[in-house]
Amino acid sequence: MSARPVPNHRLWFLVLGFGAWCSALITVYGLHSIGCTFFWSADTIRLSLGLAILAHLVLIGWLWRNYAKAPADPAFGPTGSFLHWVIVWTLLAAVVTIVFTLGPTLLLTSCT
Amino acid sequence: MNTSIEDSPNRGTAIGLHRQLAQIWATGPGLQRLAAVNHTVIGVRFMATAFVFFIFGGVLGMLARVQLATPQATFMDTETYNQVFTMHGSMLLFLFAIPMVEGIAVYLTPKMLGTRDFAFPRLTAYGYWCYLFGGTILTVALVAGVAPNGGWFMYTPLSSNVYTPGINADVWLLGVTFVEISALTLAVEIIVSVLKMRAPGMSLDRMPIFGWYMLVTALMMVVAFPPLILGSILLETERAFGLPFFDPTRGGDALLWQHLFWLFGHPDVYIIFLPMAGILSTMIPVFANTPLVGYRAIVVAIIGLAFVSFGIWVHHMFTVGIPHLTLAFFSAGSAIVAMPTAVQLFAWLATLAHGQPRWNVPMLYIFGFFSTFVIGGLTGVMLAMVPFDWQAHDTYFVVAHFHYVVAGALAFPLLGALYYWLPLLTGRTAVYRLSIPAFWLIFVGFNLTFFLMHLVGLLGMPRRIYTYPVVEGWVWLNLLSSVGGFIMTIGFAMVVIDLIAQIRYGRRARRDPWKAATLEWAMPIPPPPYAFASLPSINTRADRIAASELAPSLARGEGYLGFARNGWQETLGVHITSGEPEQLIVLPRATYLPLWTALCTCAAVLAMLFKFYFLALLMTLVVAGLFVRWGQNAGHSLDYGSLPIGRGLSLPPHTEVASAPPWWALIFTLVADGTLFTSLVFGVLYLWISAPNWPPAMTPMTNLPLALISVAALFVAAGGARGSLRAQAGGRAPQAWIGLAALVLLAAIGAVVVLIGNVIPHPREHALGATAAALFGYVILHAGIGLLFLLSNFMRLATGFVSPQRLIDLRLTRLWLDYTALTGAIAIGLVLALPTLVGILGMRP
Repeated sequence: MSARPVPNHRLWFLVLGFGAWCSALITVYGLHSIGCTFFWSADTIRLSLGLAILAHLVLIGWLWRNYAKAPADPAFGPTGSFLHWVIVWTLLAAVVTIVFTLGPTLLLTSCT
Repeated sequence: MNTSIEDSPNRGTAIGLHRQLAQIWATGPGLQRLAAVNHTVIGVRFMATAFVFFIFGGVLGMLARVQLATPQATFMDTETYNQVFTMHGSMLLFLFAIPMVEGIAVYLTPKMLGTRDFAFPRLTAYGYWCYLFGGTILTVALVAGVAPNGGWFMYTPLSSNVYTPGINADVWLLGVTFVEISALTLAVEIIVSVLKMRAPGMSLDRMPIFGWYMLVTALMMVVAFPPLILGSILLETERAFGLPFFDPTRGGDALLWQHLFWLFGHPDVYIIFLPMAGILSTMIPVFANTPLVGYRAIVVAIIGLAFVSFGIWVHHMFTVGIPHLTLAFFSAGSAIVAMPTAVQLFAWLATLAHGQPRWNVPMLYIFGFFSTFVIGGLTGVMLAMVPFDWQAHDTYFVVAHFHYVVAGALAFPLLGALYYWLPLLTGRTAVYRLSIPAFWLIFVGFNLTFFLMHLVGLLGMPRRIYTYPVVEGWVWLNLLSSVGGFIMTIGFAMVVIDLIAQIRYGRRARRDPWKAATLEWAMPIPPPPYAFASLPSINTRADRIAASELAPSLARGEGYLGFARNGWQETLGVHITSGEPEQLIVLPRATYLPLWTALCTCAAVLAMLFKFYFLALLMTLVVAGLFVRWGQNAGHSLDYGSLPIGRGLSLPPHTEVASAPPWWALIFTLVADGTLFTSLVFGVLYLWISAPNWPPAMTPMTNLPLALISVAALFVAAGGARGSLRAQAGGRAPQAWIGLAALVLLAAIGAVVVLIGNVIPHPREHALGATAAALFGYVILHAGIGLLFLLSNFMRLATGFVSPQRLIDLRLTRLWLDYTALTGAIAIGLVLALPTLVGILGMRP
């Protein structure tokens, strides 16, 4: 127990990747519903959905750049390495999930 | 609680220590058993009660199979069949599966984490009594012939009072909500205990994988249950008072119920599956004689699984008329959810491949799990594909799928776990003469019953029908399905006989009979009420320890807290990530308060069921008063500073530290509360976007000045709570600040009551008014609970339980009133925005 304890707030990173996926899903679902209710054109709907998905990918990219890209801080010991590994892989899995679940929707008909 | 402290803790031999600790921790005999709060006692009660409900639910399933064994059967009439199949599903999901998972968590989690009990033993007991009483209400309704009859999902408008006028649906809505209180309390308790009450040195990376599974499951419960609780409250309000949340003729929408139900319903499948996967991840390495492969990958997988399982609720609604684009992303999500499940399956297979598996009865059930769950998972992927779902929707194919997923994923690991942990539970080993034939009967019977349902479903047989005509292909498949059901039942009966034989005739088990490597085996069996005579210090992964070597030294008191002190039930609190010890937690002892509180809660539920609303309100106030009473003798009325905990360390009691368990419990309670609030906001916006008959004929109006005064009052109350905390921390009297906060909260409540009375359109006339009333009601409820916090602060200050060093009460009040002010501002702001939103809706082309 000689390593410095990982701060509790660092645990939020465990849920940020898939939290971004949830946010993307809700945003896309909500935007699509509003667009169809108010008869937006198909292009407007597609553009808004594309921007929403892109914004969430940028968010995860930012998280990656500012946290995951660097190696784990050795001061936090094995617990820090473990959490770093889990965070990196949840971010990667979240990116794949966003692209796989939401990406193809941009190619489909909008409100039928 | 004794407020003096002994100068030096009592030390003695292992037997002497056992006697001293047992005297402090034991539940009394006779009627005192009703006051039990110990996790071992409550865990066993949970599991035993769940098993009784399993028998009830199983018998109902068999009755349904008798009815469906032959075409045009007259064994049951339509109404009876509706009640039977509804209660079969409701009992097995709400009264068996979830509580059984909770029972296992309550019994095993503290032991596997190396602590002596859960963080809030009285809450554990209250959760159990709520579950027992709620389940009893549902069971009595069945016997009385007024059981729920609209399917276990209670879809509107069928469950609205126009189409289900009796109390049948009310029994479900109130009974199940009552049981869900139990689930939520336990979820919060599990989270706090896993995060804060592990053995010293057990950092997150050393936690047994079962701990991760329970943590993720409990977090899912905290977020999954509130939407259904909200839906049940709204539907009961519609049925009782005519507020039309789900009535399309008055601006409601029946599909809103489906959204709220499946926001709970789909994650619920994983809430049941994940603890079973935790059990498998614990048992498989033991029988493979090798550590679990892919610990870190499994942690990533279950975090992903938890999130994705929430994002695919709409796949239960593929046929309700949703645009293709929406169908597509929910379909893709439903397919990709198989990935994290596959990661776990391959980790288990890799563990078996790396090791030298030995076959035993638990391993037979693991084999049974693999085959059934893979079939259920693959048919799940089939149903995730929209074109196939459109064909198979509402047919017996779906019934087959979810029985493979829920029943297969639950029953087989559960029975394996039963044989694995029964020596710990009873102190005896299995007889085994019946175990193996019992397994094969269950396995063959299960597959015969449910596999054939795939085929009859593909042949077009719809679900939820009480009889059917002579259709080619259906008759023999249904008969064989029913025969399979009876074979499975004989298997379960043999398991029961086997268990009785084990308890009655089984040989005394030696410690750690499976050569396991987790902490629950490092204690005497069956476990004493204090679990560990002293707490272990963990310096390796806690599923790789030599349990049988560690146990004697712990019994001799060589770990932490290896003594009895002052009659206190002591355990340790640790830092969340590192597991370093940081506080001495003193737990409350046995009390009848949880029982009385649950009885009064039950009285309130029954009063609502029979429409005695004044009595219901009165009993709710009594419950609130009892909860305030709970808090009065919690903690200490003296400042102790650091106290010795053994091994040369001293720590302050939990009452004198910032990150005490109650603080974390309130945070996760607010997460659950926030989810309910978010679901309510979603409901309002959903109706605005999707419901027919919007905008309403009458222009919505709200008294703007009064609404602004209400919001201001809520923020002043929050400021008052902050003032009281600052005053107490600075050594000044905080009562004036508390009084100010109470007064402005009362003013806020009065103002919002007036706002509800003036809602236009009237809440009974249009869903817009009903949603405004619901948002205002939310604010009143939270301000009212805030008053209880303040009342408790006054009383605790008067009795000396709060001091500049012991500030937890005032910190909890501050947090609650901050939340109340924030959500109050959003709720009232949304009501104020409704006229604008309606105006926008009117401008559609």
